[in-house]
Amino acid sequence: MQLLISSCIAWITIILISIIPKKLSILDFVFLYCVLLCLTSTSFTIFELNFNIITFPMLGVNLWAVTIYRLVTSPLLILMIFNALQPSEERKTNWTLSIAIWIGLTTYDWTLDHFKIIKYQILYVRTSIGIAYLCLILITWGLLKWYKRFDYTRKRSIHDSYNRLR
Amino acid sequence: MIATIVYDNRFNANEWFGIIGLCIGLFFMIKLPSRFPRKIAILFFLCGLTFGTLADHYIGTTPKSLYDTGNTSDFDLTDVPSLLMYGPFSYLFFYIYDFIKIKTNFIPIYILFWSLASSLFEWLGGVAGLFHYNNGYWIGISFMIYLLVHSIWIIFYHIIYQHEKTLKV
Repeated sequence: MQLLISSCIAWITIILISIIPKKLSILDFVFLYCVLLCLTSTSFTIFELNFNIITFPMLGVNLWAVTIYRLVTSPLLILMIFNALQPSEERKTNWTLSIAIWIGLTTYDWTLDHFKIIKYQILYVRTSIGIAYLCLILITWGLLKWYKRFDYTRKRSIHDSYNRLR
Repeated sequence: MIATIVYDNRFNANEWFGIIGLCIGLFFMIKLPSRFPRKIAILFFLCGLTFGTLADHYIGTTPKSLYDTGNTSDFDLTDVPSLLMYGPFSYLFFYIYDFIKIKTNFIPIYILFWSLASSLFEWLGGVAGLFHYNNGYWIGISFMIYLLVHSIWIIFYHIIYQHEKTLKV
């Protein structure tokens, strides 16, 4: 049952990310997804192996449910937050949607803990998981800003080569 | 509670292997004439880093912990260079692929060559004490994973290439 619910939520997330109006380019999305996977998997490993404050299921459907959550649902939801936060010419930054997704992500994490799919060994970790997600978002936001700087240099180099041709 | 396995507690061959491997990779990345726009070059670097991180943190940790890297079964600072080493490796994979403009028929040979090279590199890492295999895992399984991962990288390259072509048009 857990696997079915996890897969359905992952699929709904995929549908949502496919249909939302995109303010980021494909390259930005790929960059963010890679960064998020690296950061989340490393931090989960540190929390699990080094500090022993999270326990992941060892066997069966629960393991797959968590893997789907870690590889699909959580990074894609964070990608949607970044997309909503990105200002564009047509649309302003959508703070309400970003906060709603962030709350949804935290609640989903608490639900996983409630059903003993992920076990938080210490109470304050469970309560502060939302802040941990916020920190992750801030770090990735900084990296995205750095990455998007190359848009400008790229446009400039195209502009320069066009001018040289003229 | 997961018990930590300590393989080694000195700064020796395995750390040097990671650091030297990373430095050589970065040297080639910086010195080779650039072939890709900066944004794409970063993605090609990240591609290896992401797949390496995922392998180390999913196959290499619980529930099965098929292999460990570095001095202990935990994640520590000495694991960072070996993790970052995957980045220049994937960059060079894409660089050479783009440079030699390989024909479609020869792509499987290119993938096989890189998978063999990766396995050799991993074997050297094992000799240096960087990789420690557990639960029946051995380099042959890594070789199969490399075949799969490098095939995904080729698909990724063509997706990016198509995307760039559409942008230029």
